[in-house]
Amino acid sequence: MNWFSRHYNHWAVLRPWPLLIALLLVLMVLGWHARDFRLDASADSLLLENDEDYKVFRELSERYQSKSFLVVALVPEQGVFAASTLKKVDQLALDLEEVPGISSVVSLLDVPLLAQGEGSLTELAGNYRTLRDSEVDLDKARDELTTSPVFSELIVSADGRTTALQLNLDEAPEFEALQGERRRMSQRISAGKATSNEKQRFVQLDAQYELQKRQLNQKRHDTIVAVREVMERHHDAGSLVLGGVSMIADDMITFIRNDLVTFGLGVFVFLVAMLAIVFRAIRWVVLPLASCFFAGLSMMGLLGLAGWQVTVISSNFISLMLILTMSMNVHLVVRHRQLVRDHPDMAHPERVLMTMQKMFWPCLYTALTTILAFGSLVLSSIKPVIDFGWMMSLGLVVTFAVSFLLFPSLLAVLGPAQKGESASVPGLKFTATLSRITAQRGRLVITTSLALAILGGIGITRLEVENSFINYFGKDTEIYRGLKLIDRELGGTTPLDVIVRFEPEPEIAATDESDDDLALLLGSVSQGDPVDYWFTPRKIKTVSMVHDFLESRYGVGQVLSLASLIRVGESISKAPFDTFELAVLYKRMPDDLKAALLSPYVSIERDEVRLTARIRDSLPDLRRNVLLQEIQSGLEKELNLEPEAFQVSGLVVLYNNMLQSLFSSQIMSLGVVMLGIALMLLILFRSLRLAVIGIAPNLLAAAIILGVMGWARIPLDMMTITIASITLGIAVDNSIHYIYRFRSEIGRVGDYVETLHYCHANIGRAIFYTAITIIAGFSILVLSNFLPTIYFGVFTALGMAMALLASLTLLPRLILWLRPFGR
Amino acid sequence: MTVFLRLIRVVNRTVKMSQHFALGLVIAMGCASAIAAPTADEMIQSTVNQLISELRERRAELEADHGALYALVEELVIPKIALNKVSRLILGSHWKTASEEQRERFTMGFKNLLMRTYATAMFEYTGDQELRFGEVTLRAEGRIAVVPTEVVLPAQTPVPVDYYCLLTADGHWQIYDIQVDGISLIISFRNQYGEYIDANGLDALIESLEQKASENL
Repeated sequence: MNWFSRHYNHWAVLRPWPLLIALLLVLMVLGWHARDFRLDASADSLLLENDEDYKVFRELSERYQSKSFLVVALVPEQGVFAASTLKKVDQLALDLEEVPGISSVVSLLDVPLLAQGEGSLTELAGNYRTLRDSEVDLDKARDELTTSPVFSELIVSADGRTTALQLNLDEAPEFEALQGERRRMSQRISAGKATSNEKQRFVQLDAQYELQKRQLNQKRHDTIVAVREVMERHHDAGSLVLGGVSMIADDMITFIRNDLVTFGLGVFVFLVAMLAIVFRAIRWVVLPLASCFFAGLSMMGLLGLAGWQVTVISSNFISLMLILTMSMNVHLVVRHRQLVRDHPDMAHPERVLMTMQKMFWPCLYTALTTILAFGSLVLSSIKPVIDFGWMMSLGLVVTFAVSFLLFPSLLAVLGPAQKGESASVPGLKFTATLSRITAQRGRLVITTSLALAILGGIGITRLEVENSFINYFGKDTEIYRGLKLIDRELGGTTPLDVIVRFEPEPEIAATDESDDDLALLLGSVSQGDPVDYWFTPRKIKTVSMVHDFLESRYGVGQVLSLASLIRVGESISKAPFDTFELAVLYKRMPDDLKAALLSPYVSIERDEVRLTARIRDSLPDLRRNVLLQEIQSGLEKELNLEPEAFQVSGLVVLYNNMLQSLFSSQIMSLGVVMLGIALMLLILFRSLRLAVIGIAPNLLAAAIILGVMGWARIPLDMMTITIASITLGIAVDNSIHYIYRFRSEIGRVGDYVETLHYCHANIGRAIFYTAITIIAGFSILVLSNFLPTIYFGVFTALGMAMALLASLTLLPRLILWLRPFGR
Repeated sequence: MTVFLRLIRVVNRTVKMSQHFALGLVIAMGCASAIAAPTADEMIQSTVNQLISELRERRAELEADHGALYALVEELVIPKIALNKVSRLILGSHWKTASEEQRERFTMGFKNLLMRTYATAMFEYTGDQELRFGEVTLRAEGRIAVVPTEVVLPAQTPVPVDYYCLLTADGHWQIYDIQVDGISLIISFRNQYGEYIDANGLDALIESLEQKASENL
């Protein structure tokens, strides 16, 4: 016994109490920090890391501050412009205005009707009408509002059947300032320009930012809950749904939290049942569950301690941790029980040590291969996927440590099992049938595997990345219905920004005039501030052209820009503005009005304008990449803008970048997993043939999953790209355990086919129970309302099932065929 | 929504600026012919009265017949604007390269555009408006006079309107720029037309002015 084994035996098996107390202390500390475990569903949690477009996006968000708001969409039975509907909308708006956190509510009743009323413009502006006036012509109002440059598809749908109430949320200037400062500091640190003081300041800023973000999220959540209560009270007004980016983020957090709790608990309960059925002894239920609990809670504590937030992608990490810990513990239990059966007279501590010794290398390798699988996700360029990779890699270290510290010490304390307890796992026809098929129908196994691999390969070529986050939610959920209604009827969902930059206006100097007399006149004219003359017809024309161009693209919903405001203004003045009028209009506009109306669309100091559009995400045939390329080339070629004179930005650009990176992320992570696992198998077994044999069944499983996704037209997304790598990483454990056991038994048994039957009856059963636990555990995720979770559950379960079948058919068949252990 | 309604009011007020501008023009020009060699502010002051009286007497006729309105403006106002100087200042360097015919057509087109765009705004005058005069500043050895005024409307912030006048060789004042709230008419149009000519050429600008003027007949 070497030094390590001696000490391990002493502290983990013979004198386990100090270790148990130490572990308990660790658990208490980490359990305390688990309070700081946080969820994050903000848009920036779902983006590419180091995306240049993201930096532009953040800068633009700071420059053109826009308000956060919620949208309540109403489809009334009586029609939007019916008197009874207007009355209900009025009451609904009044009630919503009372909700804490809402600064104002805009409904169609507030919109000025400019086409109605008699008399001059002066009279009209002084006595404008709205839908609140009894003498308003409702048909005229309908025509006006459904075609308004600003209000159509914002307050009322183009078909006039849906109306929206815009609920402006209280502003959070302090948080926004903090966010900006944190971002700038972070950029300085990334660029290596930050001083040590600045780095310290960043740590403080980061803590403040997280705190304020949490408080703001909670406030928004409370507001959303209260808004939903008001909507519930007004359900007789018609079909009411809630939308808006703030609501999506809040609902995402709710979904993640529910999934974490529900499925964490669901998997836990399922594991209890599985362990009870398979082992029929309390200790074999309690021991693995203790490990699962310890590993899960410790991991939450570590994440809380590190301030690492769980996103949509990593929301299943608790379920995964439980399943992986459980899987490792089942192998330990099965091995221990086999030792009880094979060595009934051996002392309990000795048997515990032997169990751990015999399982150390296979478990270490299975942990390492799984770490490799999750670690490969770090090579993706998608931030939440990278975080998930790191998180689970750390999780596997925790799982391994817990399994080899807590399990033996608790088992040592519990003492030997009572005499009457069965030492074997229940016999199985399943593994016996598979061993028979593998031994007798080798050609069938190989041809079926080949056929599945080919079908999977063809399916992979049909994979696509186009997806909408609307599709992340079940079709019967409120969030889906709300998003779809707003997307289709009220101007779209995902924001797209186009920035157009202008050359600075040349300043006029008296010396421009060579004629002395004219120079004198020009010089005597007070030229005022050049800013006053910024709005020129050429600029307005350019903005209008870009505005109309965007509006004409398929998939682009409502567009708002300076052109929308100018069009409203010109509809009031009934003539186009000339430069003089534009200049006076700007000059006479109060500062707060400039901030509210112009700031979102114009930055005079930068000589640029911003056009905002919303993309209709729910269109099934929307191709974001094509649309963005069309916009880019159209602005250049059709509108003759220089490439440096405009910039396309916004969430849709970031989302598209992420989607486009999925293929490369998938290939990169899968490639690394395959190579890494092959290398590890090579090191473990020191045989190229065994490395190939070990990886083949798992590659087949990965090909089948991706193939099925391709055939079923299920797009790759941030969550589904992780499935193949994870399956490969977890499923290769089967191969390692099987080959490891086969190698140790072949010398004793002496015959390949006999060894196959023996291994199927022993390690085969452990693999089966572990796999079935994982499959059933992941299948529970199907009950989620969050589609990525469902896909994750279904395809990981499918992958594990395929890997189980392949490990107990293709793998042993390849062993029989290639005879890696000699004749 | 409040901000949107305020936008309407601002647009409305902007249109009123044009009215003040028009009012000022008519006032100024009316006065200039009435008094022999008055000072610049006297010219403007006395013209107010004449204009108001014209409007009161002939309002119905002028409102019904825009031709008569334009004829009135043409007769009383246009001779008192330093049209040639205004055109040269607006066209800037393009004036030098323009042919004599282009210069004449531009001057005519711009005059017609101004007249047809702003003349009808005079009808907004209801008697509630008041024109206040500030202290006149003389520049360039008395050749240039800046007449600051404020148009006061009930319950609104007064609108500053400054008239830039040039003393002609025969001792009369002619207006060559009007600034509403610091925004210069000639600087605005110089910018606008400069851009247009750079992109489309002078002929295109002249045609566009002629077309707009004919549309507003």
